[in-house]
Amino acid sequence: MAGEVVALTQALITGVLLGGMYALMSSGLSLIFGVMDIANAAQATFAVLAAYIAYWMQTLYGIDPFIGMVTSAIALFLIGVALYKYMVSRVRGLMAFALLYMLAMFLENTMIFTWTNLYRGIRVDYLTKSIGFSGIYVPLDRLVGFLIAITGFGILSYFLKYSYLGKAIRATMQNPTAASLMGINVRFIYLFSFGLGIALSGFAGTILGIVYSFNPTVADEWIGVMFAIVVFGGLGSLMGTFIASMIIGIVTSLVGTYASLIWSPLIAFAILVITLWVKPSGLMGRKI
Amino acid sequence: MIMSQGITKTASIIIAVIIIIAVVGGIAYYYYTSKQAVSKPIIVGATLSLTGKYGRTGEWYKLGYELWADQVNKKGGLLGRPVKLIIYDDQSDPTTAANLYEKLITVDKADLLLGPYSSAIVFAVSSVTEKYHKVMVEGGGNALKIFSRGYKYIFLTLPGLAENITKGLFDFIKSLPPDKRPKTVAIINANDLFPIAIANGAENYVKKLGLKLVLHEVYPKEIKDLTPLLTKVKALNPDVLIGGTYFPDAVLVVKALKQLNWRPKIVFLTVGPAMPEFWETLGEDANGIMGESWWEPTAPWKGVKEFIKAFKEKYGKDPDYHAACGYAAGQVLEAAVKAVGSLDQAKLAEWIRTHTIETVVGPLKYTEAGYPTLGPLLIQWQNGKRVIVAPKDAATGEAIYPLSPTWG
Repeated sequence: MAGEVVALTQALITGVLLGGMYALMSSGLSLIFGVMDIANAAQATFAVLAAYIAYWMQTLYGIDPFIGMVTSAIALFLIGVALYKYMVSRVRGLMAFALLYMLAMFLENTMIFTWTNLYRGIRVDYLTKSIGFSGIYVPLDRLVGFLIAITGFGILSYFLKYSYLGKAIRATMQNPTAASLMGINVRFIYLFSFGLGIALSGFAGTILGIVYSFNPTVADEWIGVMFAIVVFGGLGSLMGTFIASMIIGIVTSLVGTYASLIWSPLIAFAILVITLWVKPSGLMGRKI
Repeated sequence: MIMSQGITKTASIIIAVIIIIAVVGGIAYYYYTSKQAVSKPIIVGATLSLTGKYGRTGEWYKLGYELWADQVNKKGGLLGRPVKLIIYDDQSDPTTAANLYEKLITVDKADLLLGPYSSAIVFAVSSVTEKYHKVMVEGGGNALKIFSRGYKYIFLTLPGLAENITKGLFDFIKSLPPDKRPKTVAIINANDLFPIAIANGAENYVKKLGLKLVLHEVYPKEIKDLTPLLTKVKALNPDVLIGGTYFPDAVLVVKALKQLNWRPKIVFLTVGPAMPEFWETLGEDANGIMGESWWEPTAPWKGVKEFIKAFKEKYGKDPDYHAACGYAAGQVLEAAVKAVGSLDQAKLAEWIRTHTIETVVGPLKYTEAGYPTLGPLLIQWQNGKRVIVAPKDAATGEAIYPLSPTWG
C-alpha cells in the first residue's frame, strides 16, 4: 500500500480502538444517566476499583484478569445494588450527584490509603504485541478492549430492545409514572439498572488496568471526558454514546497523526461544543 | 505623724525576706540558665507533607531527617549540644508551609532549617527563610524557578535540576567512540512544567554535542494513546528517543513502541524507569530502557552502605531516593556547622557554597544559585535490575547499546 494510505489506515484504526476504550468507560454512565437521570460522578472511581480487584486477584492468586474481570463485574453489581438501595434512592437530582461525588472522593482516598498511589498495571503478556500487516499495526490489548466494548453495547442494546426486562427499563425511561401504572415495578427497575451500570465499570476498569497503568487518582482524568461523551451522544442513547466515543477517538488520532496530539483535546471538544450548540440534545438524544 | 521613727520591725523583716528571696532566686536562676545553656538543644525545624496529596512521599523525608538526627545525637550532637527536630505537617499546601516556617523561625527559634517537599512548596517557603537570612537545606524541590531569584540561603541535595536530568545520558553518548555515536535525536514530552524543563535541557545538550534534532513534539499530560506520535517518530527513524515523561506515559511509550515493532538505539524516559513498578508493569519489555536516577542503593558514594544498614535497622525497610536526599540535607547542615563552629547563618551559607560535601547522594558541589552540579545517574533496566551505566565512576554494569531495532 502507498505510504499515505497506510498512515491514514493506521490513524483510523488507532482512533477506532481509542474510541472503543472511551465507549467502554462511558457505557455504565450512559445507562444510569438514561434510565434514572442520575449523573453518577463515581463511575470512573468504580472502574478503578474494578482494576484493583482484577489486579490483586492476578498478583496474589495468579487468577487470569479475564476471570478477574467477570468477578469484578459481579462484585460491582452487588455494590451498585446496595448503594442504590441504601443511599442513592433516598435522594434525587443534584443531591444524588453530590452524594455520588462525595462517595467517589471517599472511595478514592480509601484506595490511596490502603493501596497507596503507586502506579500498577495488569500484565497480560500475550496482549502486549500487535497484529501487523502491510505496515499497519493493531495492538492486541486495545483490540480486545474494543471487542468487549462492541459486544457489550450489542448485548445491552438487544437486551433493552427485545427482553421483557429491557422493555420495562425503556418504559421506565420514557415515563416512570405511566410505567408504574402499567404494573412495572419501577423501584426494581431502578435498582437493577443502577447495579448493571456499575457492573459495566467492572469490564471497563479491567481493560483500563491492562491498557494503562493506574492508581486511584486516574479516575479524575476520565470522569470529565466520560460526561462529555454521554452528553455529546445524547442523554439516554447508548448508540449515541458509542458514536460519540468513536468520534472523539478518531478525531484525537487524526489530529495527532496529521498535526500534533497537543491539539487533539482542543479540536475534539470544539466539535463537541459546536454539535451541542447546533443540536442541544446531543447526537441522538431525546428532544429536550 | 512621727517622721523620725524609721522603719518598723515588721517592715524590716519583710524587706529582708524579699532581699533574701531575690538573691537566692537570682543565684538559682543563674545556675539553672547557665546549666541550660550548656545542654540547650539545637533546634532543627522543617515542615513536610505528611498528609494531603504528597503524604506518602513526605513521610520518606521525615524518616531520613529523623535517622540523621538520631545518629548526630548518638555521636554527641552538634557543637556539644543535642539536636532537636521539630517537624510540622504542612498538608502538602504551600501557604500552610510558608506560615509554619515563619512560626519555626520566630516562635520556635529554630537554629537550623531543613526543607519541605515538592517544588511549589519549597518555592513558597524559601521566600520566608530568605527574608530571615536562614539557611535551608532541602532535597524536595529542584525547579529552576526556585534558584533563579538570586537567593543566598537555600541549598538543594537532589543532585541536579530538572534541566540536568539528561546530563548522564549525554555524558554516556560522549563516552562512545565517534563512529558508534548516535547521530539523530527525537524528543517528546508531556505538556507540564517539569517535562518541559527536561526537554528544553535535552535540546541544549543535543545542540552542544552537535547531534541532529529530527523532532521535538509536546503532547497533553493526560494522554490516552501515544501511537499517532510514535508512528511519526518511527517514520523519522532517529537513533535516540528522549521522553520527558511521568510514569503512566513512560509505560505508554514502551507499550506503543513494542506494538509498532520498532526501537531506536537508545530509549531514554524520565520518572517511570526510576521506579520498581516500571518493571512490574512492563516485565521483559522494559529491558534496555534507560532513565535517570537521583540515587541508587548501589551507588558508590561515601556512606551509602552504612546509611542503608542503619535505615533498615531503624525502620525495617529500604530507603528510597527521597529518604536519601532528606538524610543528605542533614549531612550538609552537619558538615557546615562542624566546619564553621557556630550557627552564624551567613558563614554557614558561605561555607556550603565553597566546599564539596560528601553525602549519601554523592559529593555535592554547589553553584552560586544553590543547586549541585553533579547530575543524576544514568540507569538502564537489565533483566529486572536497574543498572547504573553512567557516569563511569558510579557504573555498576555495561550499557546495552545499541538496542535491537525490532522486538522479535
